[in-house]
Amino acid sequence: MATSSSSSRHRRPRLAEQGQPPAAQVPRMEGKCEEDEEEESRDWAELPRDALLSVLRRLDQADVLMGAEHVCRPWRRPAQEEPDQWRGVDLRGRVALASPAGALKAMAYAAARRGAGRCEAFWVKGVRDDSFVFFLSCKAPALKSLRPHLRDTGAPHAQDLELSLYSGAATNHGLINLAETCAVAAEACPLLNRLRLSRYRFDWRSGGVGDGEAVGIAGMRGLRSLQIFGNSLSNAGLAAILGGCAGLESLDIYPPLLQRRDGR
Amino acid sequence: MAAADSCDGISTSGGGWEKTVTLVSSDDARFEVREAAASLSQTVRRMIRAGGDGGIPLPKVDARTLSTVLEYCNKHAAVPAPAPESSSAEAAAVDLEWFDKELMHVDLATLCSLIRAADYLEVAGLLDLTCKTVADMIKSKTAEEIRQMFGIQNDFTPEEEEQLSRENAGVFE
Repeated sequence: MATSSSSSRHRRPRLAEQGQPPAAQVPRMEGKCEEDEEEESRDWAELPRDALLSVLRRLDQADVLMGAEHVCRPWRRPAQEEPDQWRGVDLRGRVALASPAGALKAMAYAAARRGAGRCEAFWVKGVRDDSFVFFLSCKAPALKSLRPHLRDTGAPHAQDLELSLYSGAATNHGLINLAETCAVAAEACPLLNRLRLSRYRFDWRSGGVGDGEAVGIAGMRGLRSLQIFGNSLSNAGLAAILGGCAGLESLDIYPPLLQRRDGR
Repeated sequence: MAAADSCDGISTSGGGWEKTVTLVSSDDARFEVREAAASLSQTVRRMIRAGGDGGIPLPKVDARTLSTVLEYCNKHAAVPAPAPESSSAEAAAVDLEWFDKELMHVDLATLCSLIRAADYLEVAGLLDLTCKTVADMIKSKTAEEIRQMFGIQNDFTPEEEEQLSRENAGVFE
């Protein structure tokens, strides 16, 4: 705290000057003045940026995409450009609203574009396949061309993919299957050359990536770099990967089984 | 560090002295407030440290708004930190929650002024409270409903509107 001399500390108690009663006793006035109304339009449109961001962060991204960012120019920029807003995208709740499948997909697509490589979490419940929930984490510029629902649309340009499941979704959204996700990704991303894979949040203790996933990985023919966090591969699974991914230059498995394997 | 000349004293009910500061609104109303309450505003806290005569001027906040802000600060600064999990802690939390809820029963113009004041004065708790109130109001609303509610003009050109709806419809590539 600031220093305060002992003399200022013991001045006489007093009421505020100019006859103003202490703040706590001032009744709040709730009537709306004429000029308030005139200025209201400008006032709400031009909220301080921090306040606007604080409001936007409390909204679902779907609310931002469908409502808030269309309100006026001053609201759009923070809605679109605030990286934190799009760091974790969760559109799962929107499926239940029976919005047309196309609308959900469009929202997921728009949200992915906003993330522009900063997006760390992308949760969307499949438009057609409800069991297909995945946590998708991508490095730019892959995200731009990745689509949230790989099975529907494919991600023909994705070269760099990180897949990890979000275990919190498991109880809410039924079956989550990393092996299936790998298989879909193999089909949807023909140009994939780098894959990082874990069962949960890139924590190797979260459970192993096993032979089920290996089948999908083996389908990624162009893969050059593969990192696996959490390993329960058998020799057969490993052999399947090495057999399928002929161009693999780097294989990194943790906990270690093999480290850094150049060529085959 | 300069002596805090804007600090005065006021006797408390316990017979002790508590430091107070005088805040001056944009329309020259003066409010004498306990320093502990005023310090919930980071802006005021910095000005107290800087020292100065004749009260702390807050040229961006009018008396009506400032009184509500100070109502919030007085209430929130008054709550001591009792042992967690004690029944009094629970009661205090319930009381604060109720107080916050009541404080947000204001018209939209007042709410807007409060947001601006909380932002300028850097009263984090009040900014959170007001922004949460606004977020709850606009949840699940369309842009047009939000505009109508707040009296915001649609300042987009038809081209801009079209562009955004095209982007959001995924019609590209």
